[in-house]
Amino acid sequence: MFSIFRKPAWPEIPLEDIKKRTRLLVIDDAEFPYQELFKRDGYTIERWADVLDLPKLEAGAYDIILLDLQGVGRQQSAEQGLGILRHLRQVSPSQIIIAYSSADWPLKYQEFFRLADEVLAKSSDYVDFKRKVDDLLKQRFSLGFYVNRVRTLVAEHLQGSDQLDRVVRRSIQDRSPEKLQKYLQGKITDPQVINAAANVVRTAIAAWSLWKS
Amino acid sequence: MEKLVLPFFPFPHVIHGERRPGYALDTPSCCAHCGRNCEKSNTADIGLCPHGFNFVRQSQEFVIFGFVIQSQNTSAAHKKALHQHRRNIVKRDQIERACQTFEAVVRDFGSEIEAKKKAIIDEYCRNKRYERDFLDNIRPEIQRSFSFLHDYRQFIARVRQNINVVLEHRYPGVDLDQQLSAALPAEAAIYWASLLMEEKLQTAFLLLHPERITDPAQVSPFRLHGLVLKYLRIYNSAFATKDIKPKVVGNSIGEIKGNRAAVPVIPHTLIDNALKYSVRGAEVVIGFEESDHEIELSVSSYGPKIHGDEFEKIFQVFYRGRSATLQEEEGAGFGLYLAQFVANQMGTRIKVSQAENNTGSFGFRTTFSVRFTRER
Repeated sequence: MFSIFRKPAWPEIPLEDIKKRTRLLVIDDAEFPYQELFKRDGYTIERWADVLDLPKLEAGAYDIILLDLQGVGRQQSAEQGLGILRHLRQVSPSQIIIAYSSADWPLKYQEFFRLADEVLAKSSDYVDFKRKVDDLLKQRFSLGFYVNRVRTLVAEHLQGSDQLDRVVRRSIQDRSPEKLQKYLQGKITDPQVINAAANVVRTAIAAWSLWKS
Repeated sequence: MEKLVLPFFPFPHVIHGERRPGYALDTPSCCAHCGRNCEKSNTADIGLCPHGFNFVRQSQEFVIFGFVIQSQNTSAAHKKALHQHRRNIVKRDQIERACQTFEAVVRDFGSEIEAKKKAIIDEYCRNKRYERDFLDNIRPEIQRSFSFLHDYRQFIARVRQNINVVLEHRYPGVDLDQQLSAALPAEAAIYWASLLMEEKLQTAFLLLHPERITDPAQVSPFRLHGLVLKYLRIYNSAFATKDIKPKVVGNSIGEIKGNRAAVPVIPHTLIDNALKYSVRGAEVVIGFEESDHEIELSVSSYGPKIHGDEFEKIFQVFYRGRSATLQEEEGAGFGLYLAQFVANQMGTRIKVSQAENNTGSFGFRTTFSVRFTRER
């Protein structure tokens, strides 16, 4: 079959390649001994002792953020880690965040763990950290991840459907967030939700472009 | 003593510092501005106040006053009182009878109150509200005492992360199990001790945050067998220090449904107790029995005698068995309470049985068992 009109397929990317091109960030006021192990294993990883550059986080500069609950983000939010997480969920919905804490017990903190993509106890073994990071990195570079993110974003306004999934996929493959915006404008009245969904598509397009460059 | 009994008392009296007239004799007018000698006196004998009136202290909180006894003291004030307050003159035996009547009424009333109190306490104990109320009352104290737990958890996390780094550097390229097999005993001991400490802290956290035990969001099906084996693995090195090799008898492939944050406290507590009270070289058996509908977990070990009245009490919060306390002075006494509480939340209960005879130097064969509904 002549493929001049065939839409480009989402690439299958080996984990080793993903690792080389991704950036991890740990936000924790305490030391993070696994940082050197991640570096040894080929990851690019940084640690901030506090939220040093919020705009950078909002811009999606990191593929995965390991965010501590307590002792960080005090300047930006009285709720510390939870406030940062809630904010990033609004402005950068496709940002992958691992809730990483030793205070996972009281129910009052449950929102922190519920809003996060994954939860890790600080006392987890390195192998657990690495497994979760690898799983999330694979997800980050899969089309399904972005489709699910859009579905979650619009869930309050629009029931998930095959048609919605198709529109999201097409928007990403055609590099046209406007297609999704147009589709959602006919069904959702909240412009913030529509913009957030379009931003997810933009992030997906950027991630895809990474592999074509 | 209740004030309720006293409206029928014939003589003026003071009860709990409150002055009241009697139904037969009124309070003398001079008592309104007197020095209250009657109330200050501690003698049990009949006394005489500066106004010439007699009084008698019946108990710490009860004094009869404002009467005049003819045969008593012949002071000028008394003579004046005898002359001016003829209505207040009484005979000694009238006072004595009033005192006896008062004592009998108080005694009967006291018995009635005691019976009511006992009934209320019995009901309170029966419906287990006392445990919740007790915990609610002591929670601020627990929170103060356990305020270090968060710091401890941070320290433990740091130890765990650093021993992981050591193992990764010394034994690269293999998985954690292989690293631990190859590790020096000291390295492995640090690793397992950090796991053990964390499990103990998690039990303490449940006491601080009991709302986690009943949190429906935490309920899901899981394999009990795997959970128990996880704890055995954590405790293996601790058992080894006592030359104990726990035996696992039976198997279970089914799942139970429960709070994943809370159910671990059951196997953890039972295994922890077996370790704590077993003497060197004693036998510890972890048993599984499974039917289509139930999964039974039992932990059997040798331990201190549980006295007849303690089979229920050992599940009460902060209660520690008498023999257990003698054998092991240290112990918080909330593990079994929490384990039983979690079991009750799942509609089951932990039972304990003990062989009657001490079988040598190991102590008494003690078996804790609990049956869970099998989910699938």
